Amino acid sequence: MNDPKELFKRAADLARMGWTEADAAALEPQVEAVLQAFQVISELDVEGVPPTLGATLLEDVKRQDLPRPSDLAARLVEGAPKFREDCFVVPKAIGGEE
Amino acid sequence: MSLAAPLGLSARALREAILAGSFSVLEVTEAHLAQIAKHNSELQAFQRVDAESALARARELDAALARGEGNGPLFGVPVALKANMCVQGMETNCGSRILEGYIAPYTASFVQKLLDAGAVLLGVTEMDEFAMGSSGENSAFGCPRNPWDTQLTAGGSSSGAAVAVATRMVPIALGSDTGGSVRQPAAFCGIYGLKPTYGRISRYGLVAFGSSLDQVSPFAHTAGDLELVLEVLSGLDERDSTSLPLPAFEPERPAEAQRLVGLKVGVLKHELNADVAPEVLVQCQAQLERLEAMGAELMEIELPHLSYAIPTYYVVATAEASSNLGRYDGSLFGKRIEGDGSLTGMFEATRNGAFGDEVKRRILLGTYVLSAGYAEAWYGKAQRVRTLLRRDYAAAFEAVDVLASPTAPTTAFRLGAKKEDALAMYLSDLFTVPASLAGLPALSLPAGLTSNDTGCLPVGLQLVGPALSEGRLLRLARALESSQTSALPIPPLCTEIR
Repeated sequence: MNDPKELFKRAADLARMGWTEADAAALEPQVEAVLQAFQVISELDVEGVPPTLGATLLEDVKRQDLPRPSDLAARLVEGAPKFREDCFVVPKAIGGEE
Repeated sequence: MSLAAPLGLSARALREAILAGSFSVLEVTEAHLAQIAKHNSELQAFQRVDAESALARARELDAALARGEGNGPLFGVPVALKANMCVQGMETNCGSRILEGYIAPYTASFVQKLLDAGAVLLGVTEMDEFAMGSSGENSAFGCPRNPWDTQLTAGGSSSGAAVAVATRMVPIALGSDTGGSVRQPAAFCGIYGLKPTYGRISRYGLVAFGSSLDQVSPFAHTAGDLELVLEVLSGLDERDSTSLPLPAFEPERPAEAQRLVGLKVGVLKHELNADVAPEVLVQCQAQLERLEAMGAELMEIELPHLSYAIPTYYVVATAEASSNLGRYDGSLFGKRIEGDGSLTGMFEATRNGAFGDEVKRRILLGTYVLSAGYAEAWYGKAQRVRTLLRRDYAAAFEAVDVLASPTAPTTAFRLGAKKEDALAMYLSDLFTVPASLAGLPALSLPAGLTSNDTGCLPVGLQLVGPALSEGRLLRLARALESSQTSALPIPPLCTEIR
């Protein structure tokens, strides 16, 4: 494994966790210990073994592609911290404000 | 069966007593609400109790019965849900600050089925945050206590639901089982828990943790009640694309349901049995010997890749969790922390400030095993090992009808004992995660009480079967249940039920 601190910082940034030094000190040692213990799966030869993507017995699921009425929109946005009419309100990605 | 009071009766018995006029739904509801009021402050099983709604619902059902309309399979039966299940208009917070105050916009399919069957919802039970934990200690709100010894964990993550059933606050509660979150607390609390075949029960309205693993799973204090709930909740739901296109579960016919002679029970053999507490092995062995006495054939079975199940599960589950929990960033649901005022700042401040430590740990782990340069070595590898485990089960079920093992390697452990040791906590899921990875049905049944210097604590025996074999698992559970010479033990603090 490369420097675990750098790898974890990269993962935390990808996950938008706002990682702090305190988080690193409190949480990373246990994650590192878990990964060390889990290295055991690297010993297994899985050449030619297909991946299992899910435990479902189904291979494909389809239903008719038809428009149908939904009255959920208003209730869905009401669950957001901030909304206006039927839109979620968030800070602007560029330039500040909402 | 005494009908002096409705407490302690099974769901089936309660319904029959109500329809026979022995109790009104209101009396049944009041008795169970009183039981909650008596024990909940100490045990913290329920996160929220909605007595007013429950009593109103009970009166409606009594009125319906008076009009000759009440005959649903759960008519008048009090039930409880886990806090990750949506009921329109009710808070669904998943034990997390990030969803504190979040009101569900719709009702889960399986909850609607409970209500359509005549159940009375008493409230919402406590859980580890986003179902991540084996001890109930990871909730942002409260930590359930084991009713057999309040210094011990009730197990997790469906901790509160297990405690609620164990103390007869409700005869039935729903939990969710991703890697053992119903089976392990059922074992620790001395009750029954059933994780159905993946896809048996719709997940529509269950907040996702690990989507390829999560299953809605009932707790009960009789095997018959598990069967009843599975019958009510199962069946195709087109709103969940993983829902199996099958009719609802049908219990086995009486002739088949009593057949144990010649049934082959595989006893899981593994070097990790050395890590199982001796008193757990003793109790499980006693149950197996009783099955043998009833005509079942015992044989040792090995799952060659069993020791890889924990790493495989935690790689797959945390990868899926890191993706599923990506949606909680202050935009769409629940809590927002503004941070520095920028969009990214809001995401980071919200996630850092409102997720608990175990969730942060698992998001970090899951994101790492999915990140560029590491995904194939970790997530890709785990998916292939998952295939090997499924093949192990397929080979085992060529030789036997069910597989038996302890549900957990120990009895309930002390609160705080593993909280700061994630690896030790994860390792306690040894026997429950393999069936989850393979999508197989698995049932934990009470296997008696230990009696040593650690006190009297429940032990769970786990039975795992091929896909869709819940009827067979329930057959074995019922056989063991009916062969008991005494009633299922109730926690000592429930003196009112004795």
